[in-house]
Amino acid sequence: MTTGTIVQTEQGPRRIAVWLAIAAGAVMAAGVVALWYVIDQRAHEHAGSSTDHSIHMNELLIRQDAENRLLALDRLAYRSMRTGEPSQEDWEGDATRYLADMPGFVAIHWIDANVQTRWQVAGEQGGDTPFAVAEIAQVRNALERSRDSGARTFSDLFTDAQGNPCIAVIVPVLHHGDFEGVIAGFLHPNEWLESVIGRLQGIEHHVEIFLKDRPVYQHQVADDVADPHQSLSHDFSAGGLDWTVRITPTSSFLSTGHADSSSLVLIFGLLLSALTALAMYFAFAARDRSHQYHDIALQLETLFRNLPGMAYRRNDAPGTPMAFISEGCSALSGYPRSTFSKGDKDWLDLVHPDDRVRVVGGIQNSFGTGDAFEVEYRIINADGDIRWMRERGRAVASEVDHQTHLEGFVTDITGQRVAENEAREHREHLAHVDRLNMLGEMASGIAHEINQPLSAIALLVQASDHLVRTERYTRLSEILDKLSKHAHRASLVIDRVQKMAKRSASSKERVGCEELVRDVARLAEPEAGIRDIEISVETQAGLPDVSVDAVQIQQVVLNLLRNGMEAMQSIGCRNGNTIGLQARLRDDNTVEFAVIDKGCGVAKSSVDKLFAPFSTTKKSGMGMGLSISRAIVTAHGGQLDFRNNRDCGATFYFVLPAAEQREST
Amino acid sequence: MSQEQTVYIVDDDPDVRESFTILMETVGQSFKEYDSAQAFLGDYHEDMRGCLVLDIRMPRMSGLDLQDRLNDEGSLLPIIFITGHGDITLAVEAMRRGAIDFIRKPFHEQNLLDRINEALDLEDGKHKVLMDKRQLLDRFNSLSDRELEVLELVAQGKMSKVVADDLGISERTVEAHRSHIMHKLGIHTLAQLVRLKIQIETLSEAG
Repeated sequence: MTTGTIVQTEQGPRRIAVWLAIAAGAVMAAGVVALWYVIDQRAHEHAGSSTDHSIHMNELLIRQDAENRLLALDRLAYRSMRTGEPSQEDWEGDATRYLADMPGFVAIHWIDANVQTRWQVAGEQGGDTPFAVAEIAQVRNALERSRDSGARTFSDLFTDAQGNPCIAVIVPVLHHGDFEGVIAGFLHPNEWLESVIGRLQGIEHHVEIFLKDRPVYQHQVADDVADPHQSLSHDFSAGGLDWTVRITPTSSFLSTGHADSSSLVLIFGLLLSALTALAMYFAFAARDRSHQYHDIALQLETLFRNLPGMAYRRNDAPGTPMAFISEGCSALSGYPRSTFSKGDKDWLDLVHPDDRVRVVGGIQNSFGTGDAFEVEYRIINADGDIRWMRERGRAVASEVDHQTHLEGFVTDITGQRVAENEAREHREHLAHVDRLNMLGEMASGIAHEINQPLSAIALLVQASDHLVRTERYTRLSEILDKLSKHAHRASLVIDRVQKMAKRSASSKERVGCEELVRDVARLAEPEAGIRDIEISVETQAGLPDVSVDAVQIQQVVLNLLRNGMEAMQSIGCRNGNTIGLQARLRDDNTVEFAVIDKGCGVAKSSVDKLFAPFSTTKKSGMGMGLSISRAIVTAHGGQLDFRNNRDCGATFYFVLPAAEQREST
Repeated sequence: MSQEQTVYIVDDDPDVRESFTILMETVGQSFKEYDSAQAFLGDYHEDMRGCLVLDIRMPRMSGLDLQDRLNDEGSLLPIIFITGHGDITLAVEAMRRGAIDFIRKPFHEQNLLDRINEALDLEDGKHKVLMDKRQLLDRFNSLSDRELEVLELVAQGKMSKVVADDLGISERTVEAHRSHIMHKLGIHTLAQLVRLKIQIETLSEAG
């Protein structure tokens, strides 16, 4: 009962603990996500600036080198011009040196104003087919541009005889301000750019360079797929050409930059949040539980204090010290609780010496079987008075230490005992009065029953007197035998009457049902004879014994028989003059005793008062018989009731539990 | 004596009957026992001789009931009632109805046999008287109507002549009738005749 309410009160705090833990976890997770977001932003910025930086570096290098190339060819042009007419050999030497020094150049031509190559040198990459300058529109255009403006310029991109993309660096050769031709350096942009910016490239970026949207250089980091969304492009103009640099950070750069670390932070952070939530939950739950335990402890303490008795627990079989004994022990015994808790006295020491073996045996037995036990016994309290106790308990297997404990509860039933005793004495007294009353009413019948053997004796005595006087002794021994028999018969009647008349404390004994019934029938027969009624006794074969106070049960049967006979006589026995007395075994192992009369039955109007004391429908009698009979049967653990018979009369019956089987049979 | 006297015992208790049997056998008295009033009634006839020892309390038909029946039948059997402890009222009633005696169980007085013998003597006397009366009546009944008329007038003390005149017959015829009457009734004197006439009148009045 109490655990039920405790379980209920547990639900609230636990739910609160869950919500608190979830809230804590959520706050923590939000913090982690915010942190992750900041880190991620930083990483993005870092990646962006790095890419930006890379773009500008590339631009710078390309600009510078383009300028350098122009200046270098300008120097060659100047030298050609200063010397006026330099020897072809010298020129070719210079040009070859440039060719070697400046990677990317595949050929250098001296082209006159008519767009005819005068001198030329070619590098290994230039291929066997020399550039047919006049036929390349882009070169011609550049040449014309240079002639018109006198400026150094780059040609547009074209494809050379080998199919490679190619551009030409055009530097005008001026002599005294007159345009004489140009120095044209043919560049393979890919090799050129590789030599210029190749060193710069690392594993962080993919780099693509376009000239007027045509790819001329590509730096691809191995084993990495570029994500075009991450790309940054930059357009600029250098040497009269439109350049585009496109840089894409590698995914490894991106991940090392932010993805790895931040997602790790995120994962760990969320894990940490979950752990925090869990920890919070357990912390709250534990706090709640300890609160609850405290509450339960308080409740239990109040409960124990207010219990009308004493609860105890032993760690082992009876005899071992009590591990716990509740406050109630002092009220029961008069000894303070400390007497027992310190082990100065054991509860069993108080048990009355006459009861001790029974009590210890009973508890021990229950301890062995694990069944609940209930014992009633006397104790001698601190004042030396005797008090009655009822102890109920059982052996309990503990889940904590896997030992069997003994738990029990002891109440004082002295008051109850006294009341029970008084009630029993009262009942016995009433029963006795009823028996005496009944015997009084039956007196003439009983006297008749005794008179029969006495009459026979008197007759036999006269006969023997005659025989003696006439000195005939032959039949005397036969007559003496009969005398003894009749004397015995008379004494049996007196015995039965005496038993019924005696007032004795009720004592239960094993009685055979048939014997019980036959005895009563004999007691009732003389009266039945007077009333001209026949008692028909029927007992089922093999009835079990009953454990009863035979006198009281016979009194009940006698009461019922006499009531029945009276009912029959009141209508002049017009339904027949046989009254049935039956005993039979019922399915629930009880024995039913029934008195079946052929009287007038029980009128509906008198049903209610039938078993009430001092209610009677008879002319004589106290009206106690049925109420006492019912009390007697109830005290025997049975019940008395009646039913009207289908044809005529009524059946009054009572049931008694069968005595336990004798062990020997 | 035409019949032996028998003691009829009616008691429902077998032990009592058995003891009676032994007692009667011991004293050599002829007897017969019955376990109920009905059983006795079944056997009963008016020529029964002896006496009846009757238990006053018996199932179905009590001793008193039986007594009533026997009285109705005109039985002459004297009845000794056996009564119990609390049956004084019943015993008085029985005596009022003509029982000759009652003895109380359990026969403290050792005189049951005496009582029985007294009853038997009484019955014997009664029987003799009855037999005499019967004889007388028989004789009386043998008279013819005319003889009865003559007897009536003679008993009134009328002379034969007066009788003859009254009856319108001759004096001689009256004398002859007187002689026949004397002979039939077994008497000799007129005084005897008158006494007899009175006896018969009381008898016929009694029943």
